[in-house]
Amino acid sequence: MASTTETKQKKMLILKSADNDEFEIEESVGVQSETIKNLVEDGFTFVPLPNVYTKALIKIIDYLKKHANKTDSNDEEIKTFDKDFVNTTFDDLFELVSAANYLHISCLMNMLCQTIADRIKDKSPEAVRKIFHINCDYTPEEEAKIRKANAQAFEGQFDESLD
Amino acid sequence: MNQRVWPSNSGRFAAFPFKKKQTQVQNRPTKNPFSNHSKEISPTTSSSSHSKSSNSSNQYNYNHDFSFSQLPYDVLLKIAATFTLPNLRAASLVCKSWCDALRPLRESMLFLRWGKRFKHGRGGVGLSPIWRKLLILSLKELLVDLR
Repeated sequence: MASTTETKQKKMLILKSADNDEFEIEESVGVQSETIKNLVEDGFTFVPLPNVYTKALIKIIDYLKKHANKTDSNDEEIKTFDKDFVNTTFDDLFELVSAANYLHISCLMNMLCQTIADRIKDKSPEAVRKIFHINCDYTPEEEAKIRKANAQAFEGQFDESLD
Repeated sequence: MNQRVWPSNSGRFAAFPFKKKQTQVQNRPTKNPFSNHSKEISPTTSSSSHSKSSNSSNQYNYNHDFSFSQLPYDVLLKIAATFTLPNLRAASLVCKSWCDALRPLRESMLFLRWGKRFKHGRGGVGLSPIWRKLLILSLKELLVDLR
């Protein structure tokens, strides 16, 4: 029952998601994540990720694989891949952002933050609350006070849609 | 074959998960799981042998028992970095923790606005020409882009 990874030529890593699913990836793919890189440098090949769920991890591994063999020739391809990658629901985006933050993948982090920013820009506070599943913890008086102070910021130009 | 590549239930080191998690199916085939993950993710084409419980259709959905008001501040700041002042104010109204998190951004936006006002001679900044020049020079020194 010795580890099957030893028979392979390339050094492999095993990632374990919060759902206890295991994924085998090449080390060269994994080290794009600072967190994994640090563990690899300390000699670990088994990486439990208790804060990353399978669904997010699958997408992130796809992303890492795509970006691991980045050359000048497939630049366009990667751009389309990135576009598809971020074209998803808010729940997915936030789960991915939490995961990318935990894994310290800076290029993915930048891309996701930019996407989220573009999509919640110009939305009303109410719409943002719904999108983020946030309960308002302001009292009505406090909210009215802030609204009054920032009167020029609320002239009905906000987007109320949730997508 | 239910051969595992590594003793999966005993991690070399443990970490506390952020979120509470109900226990999930344990008998997932782990033999090279990544190669057929696309099959595993959609329950309709699932070829694996584990028994399908009633919640198998949403076993990969996230459970939102925490809210994103607890998004780390640095992530939130990164997201809000490109916002304009009205956007920032709207976002600060969402909840108290966001208001706190976005305070530095709002303040820097205000300073930038004052700087612009000053440069374009509005806002009644009454300074003699020599002080004006000095202030502009120092702002340039700080690489503040006042256009």
